[in-house]
Amino acid sequence: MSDHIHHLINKVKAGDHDAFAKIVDLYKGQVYNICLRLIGIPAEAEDIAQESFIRAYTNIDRFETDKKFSTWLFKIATNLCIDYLRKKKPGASLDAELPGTDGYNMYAQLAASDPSPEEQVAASEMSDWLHAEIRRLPPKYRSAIVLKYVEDLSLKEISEILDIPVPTVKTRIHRGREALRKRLVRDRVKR
Amino acid sequence: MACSKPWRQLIEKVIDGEATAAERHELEAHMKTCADCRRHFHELEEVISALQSAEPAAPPPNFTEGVMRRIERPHGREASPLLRWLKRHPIATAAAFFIVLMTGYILSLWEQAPFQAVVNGSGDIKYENNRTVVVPKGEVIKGDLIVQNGKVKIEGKVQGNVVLINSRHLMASAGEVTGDIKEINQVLEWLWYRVKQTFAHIFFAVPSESSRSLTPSRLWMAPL
Ligand SMILES: [Zn+2]
Repeated sequence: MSDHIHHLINKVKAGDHDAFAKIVDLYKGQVYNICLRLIGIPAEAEDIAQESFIRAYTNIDRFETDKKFSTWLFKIATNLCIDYLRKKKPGASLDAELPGTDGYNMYAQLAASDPSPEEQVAASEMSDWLHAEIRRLPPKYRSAIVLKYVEDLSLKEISEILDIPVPTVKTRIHRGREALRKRLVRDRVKR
Repeated sequence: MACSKPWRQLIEKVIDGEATAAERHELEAHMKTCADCRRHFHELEEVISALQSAEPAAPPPNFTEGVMRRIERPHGREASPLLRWLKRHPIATAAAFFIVLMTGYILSLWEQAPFQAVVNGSGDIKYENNRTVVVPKGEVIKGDLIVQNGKVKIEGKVQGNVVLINSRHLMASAGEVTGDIKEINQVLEWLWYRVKQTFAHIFFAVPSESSRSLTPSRLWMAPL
C-alpha cells in the first residue's frame, strides 16, 4: 500500500496529473469525512477537502517520502478546517478549555443552544445525536475525537497531525469524550 | 454520588486499553459494589462505540474531477509545464534569474560606464575636452594609470602600467611608459580584469604589481 502511494507520488513529482487523480480517489473518503465531522456543513466540507488536495499537490515536493503520506495529508486537511472554524467564528473562543470534572459552566451555556424537541426527535438516532454533539465541542477536542474514533488513527499519528505531544492528545480525547458522556446523561434525563 | 478520582482514572486507563490485567480485575471488583463507577464505565463505552460505529459519509460525486479541474485552472495548459518546472526548482529558478539579472547589469555597466581616469599611485593628470586624459610633459606618474571610455595622451612618464578600458591611446610625443599598456576592449576582458583586480585587492591587500593604493575599489564602485 505505502509502496503504491510512494510510486504514485514520484509520478506526480515528475508531472503526471493522472497519478494525482488516483491519489485523490484513494483518500477522498477519509479527507472528506474528517472535514465533514469537523465542520458539519457538507458543501463547506467538500470545498475544504478539495482545497486540502490542491495544497498537497502544490506542496508535493515538500512531502518527505520516508513519512506516511496520509498523516501529511490529514494534517493539511485538519489545519484548513481549524482555520476555517477560526475565521467563521472570530468572536467565539474556539480554543476554550472544557471545564474539568468540576466545572459545569460550559454545559450550562451550551444548554441555551440545545436543539428543539422536534430536532431531538429527528436526531433520535445515537450517531446523529453524537455528531451534532461533536460539533459543539471546541475544535481542539473535536479534532482529537474525530481523528481517534471516527478515523481510527493511532495516538502517534494524531500527535503528528495536530502537532502536539502524545500526552496532550490523550488529555484532549479524555476531556472530549467525557464532555460527550455528560451530555448523553443529561439528554437522557430530559427525555 | 460521584466516586473518587483514582477510580475514574483507572476507568480511563482500562477503556484506553492501557491497564494491566491486575488493574482490570481490581476495577471489576470495585464496580461490583460501586454503581456510580459501573454507570460511568458503561456510558463511556456507549459514547465510544457510537463514535466508532458512525457510517462514513460518501464524498460527493465528481469530487476528484473537481480537484483536478481546480489544479489545472490557475495556468493555461501551454505554459504549465515550464511554470511547474520553475515552481518545483526554486533554486535553479533563482540562479537563472540571478544570472540573467547580473548579465544585464554587467552589460549595462559596460555600455553606460562613464569616462573615468584613475591614478593608482602618485602623480597628476590633466584633462582635455572630449574625454581625453593627458599626462603632461615633465610629470611622472608613479603607479598605474587606468582610463575608461576615453583617450589618453602620454607626454610625461608613467612608471607603471597603463590600462585602457574601452579607451584609445594617443601616443603623441616622446611619452614613456615603463610598464605594460593593457588595452581592454571586450566585455569579457574587462570583466576578467575586474575580477583579477578585486581578487588581488581582497586576498593580497596590495592590489597589483607596482601600485600601493587601494584605488581599484574605487574603480569597481564608480559606475554604481
Ligand atoms: Zn466507584
